[in-house]
Amino acid sequence: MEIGLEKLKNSESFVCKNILEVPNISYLKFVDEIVENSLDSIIAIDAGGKICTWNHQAEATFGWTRVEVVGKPLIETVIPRTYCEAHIDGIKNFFLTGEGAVLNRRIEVSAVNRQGVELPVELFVMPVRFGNTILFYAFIRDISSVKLREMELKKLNEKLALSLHQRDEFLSIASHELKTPLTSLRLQIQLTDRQLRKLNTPEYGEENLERAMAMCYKQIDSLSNIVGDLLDISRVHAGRLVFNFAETDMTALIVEIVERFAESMDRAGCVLDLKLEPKVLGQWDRSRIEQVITNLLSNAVKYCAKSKVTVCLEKSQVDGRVKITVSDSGRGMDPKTLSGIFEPFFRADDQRQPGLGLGLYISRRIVEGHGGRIWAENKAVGGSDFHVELPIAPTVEAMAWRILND
Amino acid sequence: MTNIRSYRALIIEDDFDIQYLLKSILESENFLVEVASDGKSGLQKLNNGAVLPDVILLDLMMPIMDGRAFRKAQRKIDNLATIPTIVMTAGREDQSLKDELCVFGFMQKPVDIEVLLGIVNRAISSA
Repeated sequence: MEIGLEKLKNSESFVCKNILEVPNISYLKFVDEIVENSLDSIIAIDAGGKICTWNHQAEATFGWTRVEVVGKPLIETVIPRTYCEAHIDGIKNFFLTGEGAVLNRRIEVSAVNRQGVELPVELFVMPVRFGNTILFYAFIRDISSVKLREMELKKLNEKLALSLHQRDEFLSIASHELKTPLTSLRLQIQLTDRQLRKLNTPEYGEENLERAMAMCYKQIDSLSNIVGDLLDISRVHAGRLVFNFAETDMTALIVEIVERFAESMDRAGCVLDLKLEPKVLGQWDRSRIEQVITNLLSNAVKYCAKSKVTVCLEKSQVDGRVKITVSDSGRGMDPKTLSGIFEPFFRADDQRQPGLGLGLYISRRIVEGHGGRIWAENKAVGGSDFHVELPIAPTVEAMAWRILND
Repeated sequence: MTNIRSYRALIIEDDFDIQYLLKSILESENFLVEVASDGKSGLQKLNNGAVLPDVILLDLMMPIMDGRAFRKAQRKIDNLATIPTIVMTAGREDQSLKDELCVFGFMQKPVDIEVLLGIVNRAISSA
């Protein structure tokens, strides 16, 4: 292919600052220059294992200068102690058999630098005969950074695989959780339908109908809660969890929530104890805080084991921060669970509890989005305390947190 | 479906609402129904009962002992292995799972009562 470079062949008049001038020196000196400028370390030893070539890169990679090492046995420098004997045997074996296991092929080994630090390297050893002299030329490339990147990539892949696995598990659980109330709902409606048709009279029995409809509503509520959690989670991940801060009476809110739990507490055999400071006001997202307290109370009722559930509301005189504590007297939790429950998809027992295992995680995101914190402790006497601490109004940190984390 | 004698059913399902509804449905078809909330108590009911059920309805996802483990144990015992078993699952219809379980019927949740009764009918006729 004619690309018009013919004119440059005659280069005597060509001037360049960075070109290696080879006017009248011998070929070997020319090769020396190449060796010296190589980006790989080039080290040569003689038949006695002594260093005779040590290029610029070898100085940089291993830390010894040429002056220090020329004439010294290689084993006193870059060869790790564990390989020294093999190195000596290898040379002996070469002169006996003309063969060598490490010769003329790329291998990965460890070398050691002046500080004693082991470096992973690529190595290629080439025996050379100059007349009567036999030398071994080694090309060595430090692959520490390559290895580091490989390790980082591997860790990243493991993390990704774990995330994908968690996500798939979650989807499987979510699907099961959704299908359960759907199954009841469908059975109940179909059952009622058949009964009504079978009897052909309007007196199916009000009691039966009421019970059937109550069951249907219960399942629909259950479904709504699950779908709500799923929606929240997807909002959290997409950075769309938005708060509507407004003046809220925390005391009134808690009283309202507790009233809704009266029936289920009765059924669970739990006794409620309220210790609320009157008229605690602040700037919070009422419906989101309601979500958090409802979540804590529903857990307390679930685990109260027929004993006392306490709800405390205190306001600090010092900095105006508000603290809500929900306590149960159940069996408490082990330390791993105490911190793990606020993570997504955490499931405490083998016993499959209904729900997605997301309630406390979503509660945590809501509390942290307000600039507050949520944590759990075991009580000395048995049972758990769940604490929520909130600033009186959304802090600058809370706003910043949301921008950084969503 | 007219019954000369009352057929017996065992429902192994951990959700109480679904348990209650399935029981109501089968009782309204003159079945004598026993329930269990997991595979382990299902096995106990089978081993302790004087009379074995004519059909078993089996959920797969349950705590303590799930449907697969129950099925494995059931098939090891001769007089239990012959009881026609119908699996109901919230999971996907997985051919390898169906092959592994080797049950009389395999239904996906939510179940239709007509379809369910149809399979139950065929199950008790098959014995």
